[in-house]
Amino acid sequence: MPRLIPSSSSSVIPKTHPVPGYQHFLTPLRKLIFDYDAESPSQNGIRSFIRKPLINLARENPDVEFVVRRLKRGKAAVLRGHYVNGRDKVICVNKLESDAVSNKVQLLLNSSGAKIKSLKNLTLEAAPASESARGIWSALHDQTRDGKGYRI
Amino acid sequence: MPAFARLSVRGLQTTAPLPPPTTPLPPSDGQASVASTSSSASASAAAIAHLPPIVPSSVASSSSFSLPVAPSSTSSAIQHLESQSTPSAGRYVLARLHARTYLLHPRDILTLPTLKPMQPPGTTLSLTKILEVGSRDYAIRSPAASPNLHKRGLDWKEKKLLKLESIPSEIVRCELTVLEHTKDPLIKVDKKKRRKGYKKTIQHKQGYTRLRVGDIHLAQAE
Repeated sequence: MPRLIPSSSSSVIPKTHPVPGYQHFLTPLRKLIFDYDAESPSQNGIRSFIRKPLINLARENPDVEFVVRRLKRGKAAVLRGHYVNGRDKVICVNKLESDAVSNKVQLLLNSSGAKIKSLKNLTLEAAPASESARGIWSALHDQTRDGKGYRI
Repeated sequence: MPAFARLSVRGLQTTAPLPPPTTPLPPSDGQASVASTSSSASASAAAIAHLPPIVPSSVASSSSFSLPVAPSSTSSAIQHLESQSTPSAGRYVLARLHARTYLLHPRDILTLPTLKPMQPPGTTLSLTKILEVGSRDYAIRSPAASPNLHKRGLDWKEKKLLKLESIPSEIVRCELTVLEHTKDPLIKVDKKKRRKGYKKTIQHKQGYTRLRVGDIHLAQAE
């Protein structure tokens, strides 16, 4: 199946710019596959999405490889997102309208590919091997008055 | 008085591990004799004299510990901060974001309920309300960074009228990178009333935005 890999054409500018250090951001979604069936009536939504909005979407996201695959009769319409961390997310879009398919595509684009875990109590995650700028408070080091020693 | 000294050593053992009590205590110098007659605080100080110094040697060498003088101008304050830290290490900001205060260090990952409008991953957002920026020993602090202001005592009207003065963006800048918009796992809550035929399941997925804190840049000191 011939397809256009974004990096191979020189006209598109990739969205990911190399930045030295940890501030470099790499688009987590590497490849997005649209699997569809040409005739199934339950897959009108994905077919109309592929026909029109997908073209603009692919233009706006030059560093994601978009692949459209026509499957055999009777296969489910599926979006498959492959991420740089090696994981993938697969969403069935049977019986979904075109805008619902668009929402699912946005979900894949906004995700980092990490496993879903509870973030309720993870408001602030310290950087690996980082330490607080102010150090750790210690009663022994809490010097209150000049020359009067430490108050515990 | 060795017995007293040993007792105070026991009292300190919860915070600082000491050698087993069988080891003899170091020979006490002139200070210890003074300590035996004066307050118990200096006695315990003498007892732990054989331990590594608590304060850094540079501070301990000067016998009279004096607090550093507050700098007179912003640029000299910035110089103090820069003497101890770099934009990516040893620096922190206290920032206000959606009516909450966060203490942020570079490279931290901050998770918030979905920020709307949803920006695509890779977008950078800059913090506009930075209340404090500091290094290990120094900080540039706005009056709004005082913890007393954020105590629960304020009612909603006072909170609404409260003007939090932030450090101007010319002095300190910090950007957050949007990493992803994700969701919690599905939560199912069962609701049931006895004998009323009422039973339903409430399902919920909370959306979150994950942000990475970038470098903390200070204005160039003249």
